[in-house]
Amino acid sequence: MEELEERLVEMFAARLAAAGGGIRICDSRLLLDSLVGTVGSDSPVVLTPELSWLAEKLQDRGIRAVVGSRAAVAASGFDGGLEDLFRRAGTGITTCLTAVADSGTIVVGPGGGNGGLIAALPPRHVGILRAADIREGLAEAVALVKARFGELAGECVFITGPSRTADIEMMSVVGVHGPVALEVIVLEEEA
Amino acid sequence: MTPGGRDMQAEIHAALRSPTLKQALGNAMATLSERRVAAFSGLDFEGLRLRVRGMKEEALERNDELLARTAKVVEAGGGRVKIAATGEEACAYIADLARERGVRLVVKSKSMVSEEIHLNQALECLGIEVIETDLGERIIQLAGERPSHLIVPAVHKTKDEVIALFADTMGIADPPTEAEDLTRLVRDDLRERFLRADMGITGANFVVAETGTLVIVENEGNVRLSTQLPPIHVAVTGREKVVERFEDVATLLELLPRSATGQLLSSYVSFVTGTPSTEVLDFGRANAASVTEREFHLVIVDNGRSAAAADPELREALYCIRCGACLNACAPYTRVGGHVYGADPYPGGIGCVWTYITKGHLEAKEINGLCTTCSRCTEVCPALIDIPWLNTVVKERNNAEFGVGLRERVFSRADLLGDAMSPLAPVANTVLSSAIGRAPLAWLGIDPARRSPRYEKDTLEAWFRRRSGATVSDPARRAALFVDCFVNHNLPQVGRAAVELLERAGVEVVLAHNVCCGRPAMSQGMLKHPRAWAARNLEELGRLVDDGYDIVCIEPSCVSTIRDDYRRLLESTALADDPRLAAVEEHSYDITEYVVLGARDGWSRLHFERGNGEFVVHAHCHQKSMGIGSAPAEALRLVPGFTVREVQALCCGMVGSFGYKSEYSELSQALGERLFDRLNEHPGEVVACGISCRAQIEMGTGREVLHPVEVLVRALR
Repeated sequence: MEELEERLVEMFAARLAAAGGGIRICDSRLLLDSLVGTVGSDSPVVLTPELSWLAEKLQDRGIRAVVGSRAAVAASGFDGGLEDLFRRAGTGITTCLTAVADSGTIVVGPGGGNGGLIAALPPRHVGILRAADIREGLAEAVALVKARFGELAGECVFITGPSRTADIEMMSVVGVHGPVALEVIVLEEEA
Repeated sequence: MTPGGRDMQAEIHAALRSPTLKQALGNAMATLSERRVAAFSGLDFEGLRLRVRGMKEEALERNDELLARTAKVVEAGGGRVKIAATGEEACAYIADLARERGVRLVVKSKSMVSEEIHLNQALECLGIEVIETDLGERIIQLAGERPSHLIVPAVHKTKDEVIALFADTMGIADPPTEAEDLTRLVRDDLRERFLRADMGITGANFVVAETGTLVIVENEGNVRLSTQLPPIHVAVTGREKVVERFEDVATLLELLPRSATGQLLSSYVSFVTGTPSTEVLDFGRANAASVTEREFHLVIVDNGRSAAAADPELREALYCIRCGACLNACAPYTRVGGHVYGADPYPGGIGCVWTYITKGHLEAKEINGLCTTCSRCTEVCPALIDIPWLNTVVKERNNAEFGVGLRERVFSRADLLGDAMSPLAPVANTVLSSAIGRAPLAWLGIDPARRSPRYEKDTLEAWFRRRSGATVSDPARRAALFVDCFVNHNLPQVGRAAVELLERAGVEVVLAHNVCCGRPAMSQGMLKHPRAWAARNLEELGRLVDDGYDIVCIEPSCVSTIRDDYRRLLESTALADDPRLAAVEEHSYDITEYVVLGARDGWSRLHFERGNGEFVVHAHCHQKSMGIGSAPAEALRLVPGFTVREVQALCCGMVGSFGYKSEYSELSQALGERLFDRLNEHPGEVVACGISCRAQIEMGTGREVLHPVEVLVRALR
């Protein structure tokens, strides 16, 4: 089982890198350090409601991390509304429901609210993925989404790398309307 | 001029002369094709596309039921569904909605259906600002053009043209020069509009009936913003996009991005079901006060699709998943682009069929003649759509609508022409090459610069009848040579070489008493005779196969007609399920394929002395489409010591009568240029199987062209 997981992590990492995404593999105790290094403290960080625990921990480390729902923003003491948060956030952090090793794809759902926008609007998207949730092929990931359809309200997005275009002379350019950067943090179980 | 008022000859001429178009298209098409091939390596493309085909067939069969199911589920999830019979009805629904909701600004993601129904204009009439947000679509919106490709809408524009366009339309004195900075410029310009938009409009690649889910594929992120930022999301899609099961999406997604851009998966695949749960935002929307709840509207457009679904000859066009792979593989498209080879808005061969389905005869006829039926599109189509056949069907219907031209009638009867001309051979040839004899050609719409084929008095049939005693003792095989119109009347020496070669291989040869295979008439969209001839040939060839004969053809187009088109021609007749059809398909061979098989299976008695010839070989498009593209070269390699090079090039451009037609002659020669250049890189003799390839290459290179059997017979002597 562990061997399979290792193989899938490896394949996922290679394909994600090929698609232009960044990847860090760490055990969950190092998640916070890894995130602090990634997001920096220049701009606010917006997280999905299910990551409110992580928002608190990031705040403890001096990062302006705010949960991206109207209620949470109002309660957080952030100097502005949800719209201001979305305008200013440099990073959006979400969890990943699953991932496809074959193509280096992560799958992001609402995450308790607004997950779709939190992963789309800021210039950087960080997805937190448990190694055990990686599937080999697209069909398995699609089946998993279907099985959890109700809790997702039928909403999710399969993300493979940062946003890109090749509409001018087929020259590949990264960073169009979606994030310019995609980072995936793969959490392996603590030993 | 065509009945629709376009002057195709002038349009083609201008496109071929445009240095920017050649630069823009040339690289892009090759890049996309190469990436596609790489993306499918190690994958079972045939298996996957058969699954997609089956899925699409079933979904279309149950289209009404699946649509009803979709509507029920979407409405249960808080969305609204409109099934619109026409484009006007769809536009009216969306325009009314926009008016009622106080919409001033719409952000829109790429949608071919919205182009088809002219949705932007319908909204702009109301004073609503509609902004295309896909970079390519934004470019053509600023330029006031229509998309020229299904996936890369501005593929016809060079970077320099985009820079000039941005300077003109965005009021930027000194625009950046790198693609990256140009993209950033559009990102910044459009981000504010996304934030303030009152309504977002997208298409949908697939609609899943069982869950009411829309699946939308993209790379830029504009779909994600269009569906989630504005409070109102309207998705517009064609009714053929509905599939039954959620799982079907996985298979479709294995094929769509790989076929379209060579990506394993596009950057984003959004799944949207009913009203999104995202909170409503207000960055300064015009309708912020009146619209405080999220809304989702699914507009499903018919616009001719139901009629096409009920039409057995057209139905398979509806399996199209709009990947554009057929365009990248299409020789005429890759030279003239989708503004010439395309109507509003659908480009290329599949676009011609879609134009016919959604708009009708007039606009489809304009571009119908550009399909050369080389079948490269079908080879790459993820839904296995026989696009050349669909174009032939559309041609036939256009003929019924507008009548058949005299030129087309002449080209359709290669058999009668041969029968009439061969007896008059020396005189006929003199007349056909004289100024007076050629005068009517231009009037007929035939390019007078093209050489007419030479007719021979001593036809293959006459020679064979006269011949005696050339029997093979204890034959290894028995073969009936299919007598094709051109070899019989124009190149009987190739036929004689074929007979000799086969007999030396230990094959007892008879001539089949066949009629024309039907290809020349099919190419003109005249199917009545080919249907009758297919039935007659099935009778004759079926009898021969029954008697133990293999059917051997010299002209690749004939064997491809027998193998790949007779089933189509006969599907509406009593012979549709005739067992002889499969038997004839199975026992028909291209002669080079047959000779190679004989050597491989050990029955051939051909024995070649060592030779030292040097050859460069061009395979016929139909040899490639039958999967025997290397057979001519392999046949030559049976001779030890021969140096044989194959050129990997697209079509020679002649394609039967295509290159003779005045409006296409220039394009035909342009298509051949790549092949001529590659052939001219190599010394030695030029070898090709098709009679029209032969004429084209001889004219384009000035070198003599031989059929492989002529070379092989010479090597035996």
